Amino acid sequence: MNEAFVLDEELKNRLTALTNDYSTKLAALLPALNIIQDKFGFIPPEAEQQIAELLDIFPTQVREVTTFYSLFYNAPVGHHKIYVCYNLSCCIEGGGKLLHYLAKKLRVSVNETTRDGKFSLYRTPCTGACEKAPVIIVNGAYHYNVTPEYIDELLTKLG
Amino acid sequence: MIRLKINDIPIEIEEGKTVLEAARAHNIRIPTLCNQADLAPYGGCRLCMVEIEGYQRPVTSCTLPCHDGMVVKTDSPQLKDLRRFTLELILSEHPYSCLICDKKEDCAKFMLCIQKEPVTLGCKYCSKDGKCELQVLVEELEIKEIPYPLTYRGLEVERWDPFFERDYNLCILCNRCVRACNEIRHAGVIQFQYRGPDTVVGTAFGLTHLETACQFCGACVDACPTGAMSERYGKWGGVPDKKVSTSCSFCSIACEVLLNVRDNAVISSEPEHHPLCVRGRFGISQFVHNPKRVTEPFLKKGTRIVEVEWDEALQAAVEKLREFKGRTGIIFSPNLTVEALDALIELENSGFGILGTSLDSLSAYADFSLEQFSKPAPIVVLNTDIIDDFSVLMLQIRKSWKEKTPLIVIDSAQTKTADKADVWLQPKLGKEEDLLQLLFSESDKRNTTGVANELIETVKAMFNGNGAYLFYNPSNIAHVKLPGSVKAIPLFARPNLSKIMNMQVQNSNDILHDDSIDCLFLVGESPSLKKTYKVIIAQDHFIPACGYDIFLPAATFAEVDGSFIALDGKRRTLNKAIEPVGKSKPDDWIIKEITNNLGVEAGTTTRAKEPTQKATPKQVKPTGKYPFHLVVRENNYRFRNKSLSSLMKGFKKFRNDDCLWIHPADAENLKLKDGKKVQIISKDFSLTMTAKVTDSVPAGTVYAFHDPSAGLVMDKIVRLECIES
Repeated sequence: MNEAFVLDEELKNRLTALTNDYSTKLAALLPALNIIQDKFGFIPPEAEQQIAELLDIFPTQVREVTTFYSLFYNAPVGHHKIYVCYNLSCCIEGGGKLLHYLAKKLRVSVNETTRDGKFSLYRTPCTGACEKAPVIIVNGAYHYNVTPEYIDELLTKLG
Repeated sequence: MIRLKINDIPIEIEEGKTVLEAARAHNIRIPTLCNQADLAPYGGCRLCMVEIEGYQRPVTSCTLPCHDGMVVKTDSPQLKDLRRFTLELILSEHPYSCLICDKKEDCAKFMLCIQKEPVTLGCKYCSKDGKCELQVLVEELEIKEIPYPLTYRGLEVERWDPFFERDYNLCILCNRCVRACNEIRHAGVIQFQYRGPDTVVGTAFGLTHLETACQFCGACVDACPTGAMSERYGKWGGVPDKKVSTSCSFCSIACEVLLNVRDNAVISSEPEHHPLCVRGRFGISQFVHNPKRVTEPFLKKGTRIVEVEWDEALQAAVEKLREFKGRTGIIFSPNLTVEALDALIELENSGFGILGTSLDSLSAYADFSLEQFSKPAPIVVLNTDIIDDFSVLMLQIRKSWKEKTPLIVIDSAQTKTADKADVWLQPKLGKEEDLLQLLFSESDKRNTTGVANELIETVKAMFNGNGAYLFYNPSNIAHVKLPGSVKAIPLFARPNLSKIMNMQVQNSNDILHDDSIDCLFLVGESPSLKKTYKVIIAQDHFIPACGYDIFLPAATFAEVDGSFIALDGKRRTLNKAIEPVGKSKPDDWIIKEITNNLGVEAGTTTRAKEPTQKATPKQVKPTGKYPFHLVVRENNYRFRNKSLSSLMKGFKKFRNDDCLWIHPADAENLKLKDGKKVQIISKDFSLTMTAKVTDSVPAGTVYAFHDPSAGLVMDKIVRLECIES
């Protein structure tokens, strides 16, 4: 087991405390995975194994959940995760071009991470903010009416 | 009771049953794919849709509980359309050329078209042809063509595991294998992964089944309605002519098993009422039709071994037995039928030889029945790998309990059961009995077992005054004194114990050490010999390791009518599924022929019978000359004179019992690497084995499986020499 992904006592206590909030231990799985992802940036297989032990379920059950949700990452991803909406409203307002612009600027294609591990680029279906298209989501925060200039600014700010 | 109407037939059914169950109980057909009687309803395939009066749209009958006054329709034209549409969608991801081709009736016979569909896309080349549930449904719903293009998923066929292989391109995601693994076996090895069109059945982290906790019980293979999961051996066996119900003889639990027979060959076996383990599910057909099996009588003439007729072989055996009258040792395997054992007693009574078997510690024998386990209590497992060796017993006991009770393992080695246990106590070797004392009685004895006091307290708290069930391996521990609340159940690997106890036979070791014996008659056993014998008569399926002068081929348990006695003391019947292979004959027939030909009246015993000596386990202490403690574990994957892993590749991969487990520190001292040969030397024997370096055994000890033909019978102190680095 990779030493780096061994859960420390404090984290284990947090996860165990979670189980008290739910009627079954299995129900605590999603919040537990969120905590792990916050800590490591992705969900390492070692952590999955340990969560399975803590929650008294099979490792396959954890695997089923982490592979089902596309927002759980099974491999290391960039520090900043950029999602570009590619649905109709955003594309009419230039969302598609934004995606190309970002890809070119970061020198990655969609679903990839930059070499320095800073940025990951993804597409996302409709985010429900069509009135302010085009929309991108960076680390969970919405950015509206995005233009290439705005992206330049944002990328410099994020470093 | 609830009254409802299905297709205008009034039906009465108890509360809590689903509409599907009610319909099935009255022979009303509702097509399903994801439903399996012993699994919880899933509602995945949407084929069991029914119309119910007062409901706006059709509902799945497998998930709908019956209620009073329900009026159900299961066969309207609209429903048929709906089902056809659903099945068409399911088939758009399953190669369907084998299902809807207009030439399919004549295909296998005449090979009408030159251009065949590729093998991967089906045609008549699916191993499930004739047994596929999709074929039945396509026929029933009269689907002639599918309006959608086929999406072939192009997944790699998973052929890297023993016993079964998986082609998930044929998978329709009915979830039956996943539920069978979780609900029937509680193994949790496979699960759906990813979602939407990417959904696939898989193991955690993409491990092979060998690397996971898979027990290869085959529950998933039996559950699969398509050809996605298939048995490696019986895959192309075709549709069976008949199914014969008999009992699996590989171990003492003796599960009921259905043998699929075609053209006088066992093509596969399947569970009848209860789940099977890997031996019963995948072992039987490979064992019966093993290429190493010898089915003709052989005779040693001078230096040559010649195939002969039965008359000649029997005549030779009888002559030798006459020649060595009173100087013959008959060593038999407990794996025989009761009839064969009776015949052996008659043979011994005729005074030609003495009977012996290699069972030790019979004094611990106790009958038990599953009713004994009515009260849930913690399970303590001592020195036995219950999940590997007695998985079916464990399942049945735990299935009858609603609540889950803790599983506590006491074992000096880290077995598969120890991995799965709630608590694993690792005492020092030889301290197991002390640990039991500490656990179950309020003794003030000092704790020298090597297990932390806190851990013992934790386990004691689990018992909570409820008592416990203790399963132990009788060959390692002889006397366990326990309070009344603890039920101790010795787990013997071999059947027929109550019968053999009454036979008052010798220990085979005594016979082998007896210098006056010059002739050995081995019935299904192959001991390691201490001296050279003038004649060895062997009666078995396979050539014994010790060699022979006369070989009499015996029929396997699938080829005989008879019975044997299981661990619970009850008689299990064996039903003949196929005619004996080749010239082989049933054990009892051979022994009776010999006895009759010897022509001596019964009741003229020459030698006074002595009762079997109780074997007391000797404490072995490693010394300077022999620094290692060799622990011999009971081997439940052994049948008559062979271990299953020496006969079948799958078992060799799954559980190689021909290896010596050694701790990495000891291996490093010896400069021994994993998979290399090592020589084991003790005072009275030497043996070469393959080393398996693992930290699951404590340092200073080495573990091997029970193997009488190699001389591995009892714990010993040994010296190791690395002969290959």
